[in-house]
Amino acid sequence: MERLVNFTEYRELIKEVKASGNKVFSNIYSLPAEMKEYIKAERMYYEKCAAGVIFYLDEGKYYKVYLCVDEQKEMKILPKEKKLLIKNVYNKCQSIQTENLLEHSLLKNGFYKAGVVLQVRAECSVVMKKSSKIDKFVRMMNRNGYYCISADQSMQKEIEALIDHDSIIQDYHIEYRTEEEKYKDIEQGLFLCIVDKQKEICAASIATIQNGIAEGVAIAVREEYKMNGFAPVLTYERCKRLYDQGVYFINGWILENNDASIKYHKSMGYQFTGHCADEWILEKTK
Amino acid sequence: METSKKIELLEDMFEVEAGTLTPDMNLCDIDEWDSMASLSLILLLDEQFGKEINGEDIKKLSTIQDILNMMN
Repeated sequence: MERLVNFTEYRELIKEVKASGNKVFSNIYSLPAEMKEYIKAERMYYEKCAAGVIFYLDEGKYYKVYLCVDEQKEMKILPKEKKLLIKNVYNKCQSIQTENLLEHSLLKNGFYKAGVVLQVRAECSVVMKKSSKIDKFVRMMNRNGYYCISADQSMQKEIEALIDHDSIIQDYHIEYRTEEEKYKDIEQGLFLCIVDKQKEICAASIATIQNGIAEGVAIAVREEYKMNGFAPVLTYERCKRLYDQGVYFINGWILENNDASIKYHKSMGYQFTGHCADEWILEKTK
Repeated sequence: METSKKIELLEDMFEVEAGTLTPDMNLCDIDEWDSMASLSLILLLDEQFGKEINGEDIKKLSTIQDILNMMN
């Protein structure tokens, strides 16, 4: 793998693949500005193969793979020292011909489909309409010694550990943030948690803001506090605080087979966008 | 409180039409049974019946009758 030096080099590599005139498959959904950021942060790598170029974005615990390949040629991806994730986003109504070609090629390279995720989006103001019930619940929760608070810097590691240990959230669901970015996220109130009287964390939620939209929202609740109503409280509080900061939408992905999460998001006012994504994984080298 | 009145309260809580719920219904068969409903149930039992329940109690519930029993 070679590290991408600048955006011009990235553009040239893509141009080269497209020059053949054949149909090109790509799962590059990032905006040029985002790509420039990744390159600047020295997180973008690439490899050429007969079919085109494979880009690797270092996400800390895994590489997110972006393909720009000739559909008619054989693609070769070898395992790396970190897990590889290919997220192929498509519309449910779209033709599946390309997806079948990709699937065949990925299986041949040793990838397996770890899951299918559905894209959801909520307007903060819609979630906030649940206020009368949740406000009452929060008062009751407070009476019982539980409080929803913005985390401080000292809570960062514990919150991350709670999210890491969640059985549904996989390491490749969390996008990389530098320590500096996390510091800023916490300062901005993007790390929320519910604590008990002893300030023990019972549930937590993290999020980032990208292009004015909240993304990558993850909620984890300690096993003994599940079904306690803490997840809706965190979602509601998140929306209230985002709205106050001028952020009006939340985007997220939920697993297609996670019925509880689907029900929960629907009841909180989330809408399905019609987009879904296959998550393809290639395990790291042994 | 009569059972019919309790069921009315639950229908209101689940935001389903009157006459939808019966005591023998399994909670897992009710689309509206989710985290938000669980929050609403905790609130309902606290406000109307003075009963404090938690997630552990909720995990043990399997039918509408189990909830009705808590409303005594």
